[in-house]
Amino acid sequence: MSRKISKTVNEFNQQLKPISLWADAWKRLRRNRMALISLWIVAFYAIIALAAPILPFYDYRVQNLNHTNLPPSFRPAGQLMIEKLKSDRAILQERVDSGQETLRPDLERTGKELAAAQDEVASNPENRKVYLFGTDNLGRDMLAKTIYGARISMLVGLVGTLTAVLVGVILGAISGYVGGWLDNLLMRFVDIMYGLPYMLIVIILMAMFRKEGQSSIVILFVGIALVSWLTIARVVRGQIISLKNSEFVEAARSMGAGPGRIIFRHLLPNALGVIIVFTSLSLPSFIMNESFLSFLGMGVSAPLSSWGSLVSEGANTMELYPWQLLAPAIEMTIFLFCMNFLGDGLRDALDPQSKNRT
Amino acid sequence: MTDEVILQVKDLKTYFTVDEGVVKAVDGVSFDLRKGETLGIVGESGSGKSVTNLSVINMIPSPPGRIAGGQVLFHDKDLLKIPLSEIHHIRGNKISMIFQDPMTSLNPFLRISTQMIETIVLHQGLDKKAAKEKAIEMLKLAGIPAPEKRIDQYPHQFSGGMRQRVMIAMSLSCNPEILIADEPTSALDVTIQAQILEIMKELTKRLGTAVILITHSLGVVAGTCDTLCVMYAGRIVERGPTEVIFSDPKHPYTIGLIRSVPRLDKENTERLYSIQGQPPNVIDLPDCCPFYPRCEKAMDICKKKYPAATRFENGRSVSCWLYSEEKK
Amino acid sequence: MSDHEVLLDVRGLKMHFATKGTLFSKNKGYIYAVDGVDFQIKKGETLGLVGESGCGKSTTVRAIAQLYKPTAGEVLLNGKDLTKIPAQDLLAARKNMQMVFQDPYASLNPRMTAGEIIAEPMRIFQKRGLLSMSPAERDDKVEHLMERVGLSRFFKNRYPHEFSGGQRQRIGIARALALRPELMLCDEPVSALDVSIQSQILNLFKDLQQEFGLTYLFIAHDLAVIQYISDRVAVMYLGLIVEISGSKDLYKKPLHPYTQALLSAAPIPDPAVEAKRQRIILTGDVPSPDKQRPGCYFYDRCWKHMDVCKTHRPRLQETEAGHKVACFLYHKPD
Repeated sequence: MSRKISKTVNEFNQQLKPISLWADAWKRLRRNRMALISLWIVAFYAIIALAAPILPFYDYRVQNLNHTNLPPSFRPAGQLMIEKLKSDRAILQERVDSGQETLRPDLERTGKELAAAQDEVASNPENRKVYLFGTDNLGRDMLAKTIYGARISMLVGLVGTLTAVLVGVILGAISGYVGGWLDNLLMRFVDIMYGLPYMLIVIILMAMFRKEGQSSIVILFVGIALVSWLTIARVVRGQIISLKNSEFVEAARSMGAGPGRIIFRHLLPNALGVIIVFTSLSLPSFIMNESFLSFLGMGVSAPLSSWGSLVSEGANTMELYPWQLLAPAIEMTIFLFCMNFLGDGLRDALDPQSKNRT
Repeated sequence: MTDEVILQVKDLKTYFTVDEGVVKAVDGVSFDLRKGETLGIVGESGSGKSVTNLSVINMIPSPPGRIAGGQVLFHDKDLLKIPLSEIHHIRGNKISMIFQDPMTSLNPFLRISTQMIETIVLHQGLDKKAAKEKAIEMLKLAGIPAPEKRIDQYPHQFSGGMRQRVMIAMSLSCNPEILIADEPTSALDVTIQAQILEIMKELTKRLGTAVILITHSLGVVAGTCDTLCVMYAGRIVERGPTEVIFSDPKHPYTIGLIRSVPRLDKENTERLYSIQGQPPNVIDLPDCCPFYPRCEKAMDICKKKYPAATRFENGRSVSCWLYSEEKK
Repeated sequence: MSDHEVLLDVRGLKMHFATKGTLFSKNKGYIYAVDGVDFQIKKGETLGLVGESGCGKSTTVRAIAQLYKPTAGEVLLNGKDLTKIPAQDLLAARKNMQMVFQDPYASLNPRMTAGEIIAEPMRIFQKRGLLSMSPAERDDKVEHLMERVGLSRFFKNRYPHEFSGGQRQRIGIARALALRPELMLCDEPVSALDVSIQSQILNLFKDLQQEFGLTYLFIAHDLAVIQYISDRVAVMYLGLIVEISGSKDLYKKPLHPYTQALLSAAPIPDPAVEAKRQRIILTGDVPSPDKQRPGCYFYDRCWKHMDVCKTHRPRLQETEAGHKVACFLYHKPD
């Protein structure tokens, strides 16, 4: 007695391939070019961020005061350092030649610096480093900083989203299924929470509970997660209410199924599409919130950095050393764009009207 | 019913392109409609009867569907080839349609008067006042009580049966030559259905309108139609006068269908006959008679080629290898 | 059949739904969906329940199944009143009473495979300790049920969207049979199916009844279908039963004017017969059950109404053996 799924033929001897709903959704997603490209890009980010400690990046904490504010380049740092000193010297030379004698001591000093630097370059292997994204004002590698910043941002996004989804789904499901005064109470609570100025609350929380030296990440999570479960709760509640009166739920009740079984086995699996889409769209919004807080200085503190704090630092030196702003900003923007496209693509692919009616 | 043919559908083909392949929803359908005749198209789900309907007035949504062949000659003009501007003059005016669900076919935001007057003014060139009077008259004919008051109401203030009457009144207000009714009573209760069918019969007889009635109910067809087309998997398998088809069905599908419907007036003590299997999924059907897996009388040739129509006297035709002379 | 015991006894069943009042208005209206229904079904027989939309047949069946809590009345299954027993006993009683639903597209969870759907009742009862079965036995039972209703067991792992309407309905029937119930409540199980599939499913119902000794409460709006499948028929109008009798008698000799109108309106697939028919066309629409009327509910549309019908409500009373009707044409008001 075979228990395998067999490839059967229909009455016209045509092959019938079984298709599960997920496989069908995947097929539709694949046809959406933008979503597919976004998926690969997001996957790329995720892999790099996860594997960062074992990949050959420079340590993001190491400062090298010789290598401060170097622009992005494929050439080794030593060369760039020397070039910079030479160009500084050339400017001074020009000025001295045109009559500013007071600068002559500076000229000599720079000459000595240049000589020292050239020795340094020849001897110290550190100067062979290539800073693809340039360095910051303390000589730290921007590439490593942005990657580790990505790790933090993405972690915040992920954990925050998952927490929000967990809390929101459970509360929304219970509220939608039970209805009555409980539903009323919860939804009014949600309405009130919506009305609160959430940024203000997070800032106050951060100010109250942040202790010096301790990592502020946990408080950040709590602060943001506190308000982000609201939308998912409402969305899930809506889905549950609309599914609650379907015939298959009635059938389950007529078999004696209890509320737990109905919610987790019947209602939520059918609401999964909506939950997935919401998750993928709320992740970027989490990251943006965190970035905003970090930009204000209320987010993660040194030595940890996130995209937001990097952008904040880069904004200070925007005119002189633009790469310090552009690197994290572009990296973040690409990631958020891709998450949004992916979310849109998922929503189209998981459209419940696709396969349920023949 | 006269002998003058006003509509000729010749070898109509409508295909839909979906992910899994090509759905040949209508695959070579031909029939004639005479002035004043009531033609019934009977079929189950997937038979293509509704798509045939929409194809006749060229209302197929263009991706994913397309008319892949054939002609629809209305007074010798091919409706599939004339420009859009001309079709607009015909739809609602010379050929009008009523649909199955009276809840959704009326615009819920507009009053009945607005919707009816719009049609009449557009096609008959009357001014608003005259149009309103005509509309009230049509509502009265359709059996709506106190039409002068009710015409200014909104669709949600009417019940299902009433809405369908409004639809009938609206579609007949321009005195069309052909009324296409797509399952007009399937969503209605049986006593209301009887009312609606009576009204339709009366009005169309009075105005001399030809009717194409699409339904899945053999009972409705038996009571209202002069001629009958039985459709299966996108093709007409049997065609002819209703009485003749019911008394002497030739195609095995028609025979099976008639035998498998329980009858009120007979004592059904034995087992109900049933056609085995299910209606086919019409995606990428191979070239064969689509009924062969379910046919008790299937022969070898049925699996290989679709039978051409064999004509009999008084307008009958059957597409079945049992009757075809070119059997190998 | 006359000596068989009564399996289901419904007495005075009422189901009134309150329409929600707003925060400021206390006046709540009611929908009197079922307004006092009595009938009995004997073991092994099929009672057909027929009527148009708004007559309350679906609500009746759901009230019997305890999906809604009846506003009033008793539902006795094998002598036990389902409206009054504690929850654990109700669950045990459900083993004997299962439902088949109307819409084959909506009555199966789209995210469960056919096998899981059919096994679910057994799983639920097993979890509550009312059934003991090993997973292998359960699988076996599922496959056996699938074959019995005419589905290949190789389709056990397919999802509902991969089946046609008729096949989905078979899955629903297999699910209802999983616990070997005595009573099957069937809510318009063939109304959404194609004609050629309808007859297959009706035959399946008949075969299963013979094989498993089932008792059916069968709802439909198609009179011919009801006549074919039922031993006795009850006609409902606006929440009340207006006539109830043996299936053959009802069609040969309908007593209540509404039954007569219904039968006359039902189309017969025979043009020769249709051409000769005299139809009773009822005026007006099927009213909605949102008012309680003092007199007969059918008064407005009845062409045989008398003065007494406006003020007194007729009760269901027997005219001949096994034939009950609620109409003052046959009984004097008390």
